[in-house]
Amino acid sequence: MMKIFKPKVLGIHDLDLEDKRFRISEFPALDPLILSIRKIGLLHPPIITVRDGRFVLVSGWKRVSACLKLRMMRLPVFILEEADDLKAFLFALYENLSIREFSLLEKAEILSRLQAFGLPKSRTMTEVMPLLHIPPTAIYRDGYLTIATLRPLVKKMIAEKSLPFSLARMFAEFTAHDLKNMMPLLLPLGQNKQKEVLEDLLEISRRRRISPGKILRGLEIQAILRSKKWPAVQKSERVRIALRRERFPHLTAWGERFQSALKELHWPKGIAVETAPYFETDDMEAAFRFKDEKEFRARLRDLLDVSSRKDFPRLFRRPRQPSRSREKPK
Amino acid sequence: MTNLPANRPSPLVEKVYIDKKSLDSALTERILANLRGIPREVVRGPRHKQTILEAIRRSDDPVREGKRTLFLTTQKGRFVKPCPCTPRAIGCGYFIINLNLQCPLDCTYCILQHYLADPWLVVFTNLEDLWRELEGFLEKQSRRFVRIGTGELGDSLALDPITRLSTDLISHFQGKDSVSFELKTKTADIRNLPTAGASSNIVISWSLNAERIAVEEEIGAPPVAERIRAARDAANKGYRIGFHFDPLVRFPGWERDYEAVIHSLFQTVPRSNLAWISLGALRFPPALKKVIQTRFPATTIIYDEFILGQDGKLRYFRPLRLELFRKIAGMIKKWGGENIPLYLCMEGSNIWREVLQWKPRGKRDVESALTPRSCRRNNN
Repeated sequence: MMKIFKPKVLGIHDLDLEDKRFRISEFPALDPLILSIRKIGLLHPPIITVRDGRFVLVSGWKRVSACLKLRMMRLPVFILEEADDLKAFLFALYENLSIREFSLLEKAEILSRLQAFGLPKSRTMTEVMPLLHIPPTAIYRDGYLTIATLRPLVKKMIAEKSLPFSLARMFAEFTAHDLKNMMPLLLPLGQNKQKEVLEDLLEISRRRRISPGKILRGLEIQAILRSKKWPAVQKSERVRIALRRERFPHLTAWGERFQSALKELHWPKGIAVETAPYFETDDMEAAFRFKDEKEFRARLRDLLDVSSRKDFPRLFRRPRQPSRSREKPK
Repeated sequence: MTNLPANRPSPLVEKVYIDKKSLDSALTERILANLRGIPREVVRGPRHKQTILEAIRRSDDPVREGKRTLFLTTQKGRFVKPCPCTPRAIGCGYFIINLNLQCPLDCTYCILQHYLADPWLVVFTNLEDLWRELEGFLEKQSRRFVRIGTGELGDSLALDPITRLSTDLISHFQGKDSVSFELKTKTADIRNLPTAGASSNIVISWSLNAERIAVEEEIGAPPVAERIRAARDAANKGYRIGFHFDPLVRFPGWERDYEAVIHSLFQTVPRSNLAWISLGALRFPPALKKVIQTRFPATTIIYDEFILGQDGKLRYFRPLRLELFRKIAGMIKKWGGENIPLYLCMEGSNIWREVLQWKPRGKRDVESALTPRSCRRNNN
């Protein structure tokens, strides 16, 4: 049974804001809340509990942060008389649950706090995860718990870019040092390319059993990073391509050979040509648009012209078979 | 009733659940007798079943937890189904009997980790329904030669020490000349198999791999050498023998390791008993990759050059696949398998043509190439 609430007015500096045991929001957007408090005041007092004679904030971190920004010296609060941290935290959770959606990082913090407060894993999965719209499985639980351990810099990026679970989970696979080195590379990229870079790095590192950091310290990538020729976004793109080449060497070689054959043939503009996805079959496809008979004939002439060139068969040649697999170095 | 000899290790079943409908079955009685001392509980109804399954799913590793839990129930649907193969691949006209689901072995690459909704081991106990269904099925297929077997949704023999279903199935199919019945396994305990007749239509098949893959990726399965010895013993009992090199996996030194296995099998198992050899390269749905990464963080086999194939599965990039198939097929021919029927599992016609220089028009072509007549012709 939850304990009694007592309304009270406290000086904002009477709160022990260093005690963050119940805090789940790290990077809140405060502007709308500040505007609301400025216009109509603080309608929902934060919830406070007492620990060792200190006032500890249970729920309402955003509200208190907004009040601090507004330089409000006193604010109304409710005092929750609950000595058990888990029960107090669950109270805050249910209170928030009724009024808003939690972000990915907040969900991670919630699961992490529940674990720290001693809620059994099975209860977390059956009682809490469904409420947070997280599939109640160990894989997801462990994934969120790992996200909760990420460094603030990474969490900030996850929050600012609203990164999804799959991508955030991947960050947790890297060491803090590697992540620090990777951040400047990742920041200029969109989500899909970030995911590709992280996935490629991780998979190369697992395949070669070396750290992602060592891959990033490789000669080709270092040359890109040190170059003064390119701005940050181009460097990120070049590193992405270098990683792709290392992750999929044969596929990349086939693709590059095909592209270079097209280039050397001066493949006619306006006629798209594609191989089967990933060269799974030998099928190829050429397509063009035309408005009238004249344009149609012109395209056909282009095709005839290109097909009569000496180098045309190159388009159908593929790199040699992969070489004999080497033994692992002892 | 056949009980487990005292000295035989049983699969690591830690709990048995019994569907009310299976309580009176002779197979249930046999299995429970072979699992003396293992806790058992009757499943009272669908809600109770869901509660048990949810508890398994909530465990840290639901797949592993499921492998310790056996559920005895009845098959409500059909036991016999055409092997689903994969879209855009050439099938082989195979039929599967779903008599048990899931597998106590724990291969890192196993699709069952993702394919079946329920993680526990299931054995269907309504054998009378199975025999009835099989009679009707074989009657319908009487104009064609049928290849049928268990081992699609679970190893055929891994639970055999407690179910002894191999004996029932072999007795049922023995002597039915228009049918080739196959038991597929990675295990090596064939003591339950009765002696087969001289012109057996029963094929016992082993899934083989390079020793390194067997050790590192096929957790709970015996070493390859034991499997090959078991194949020799089965051949000595009169059975025809099949081998499935599936999944073929690339790793540094794979050629040497696979060749060692192929050499060993032709040295050990009489060629005249060989029914067929199949090849399949490692492939998996993208969703399985996450499961493998979580359950087996040390495995590296999923980080080779996989592309998304036409069937939506991750497969080795075509030239890598071709290299695997060509070299393995070459080794099989080199060590004495020139005339053993060889087929590819879940590959399209272009790969068949490039590897085997034969482009079957469809599954009927493959099916007819694998009939005993062609096997006999090829073996002579």
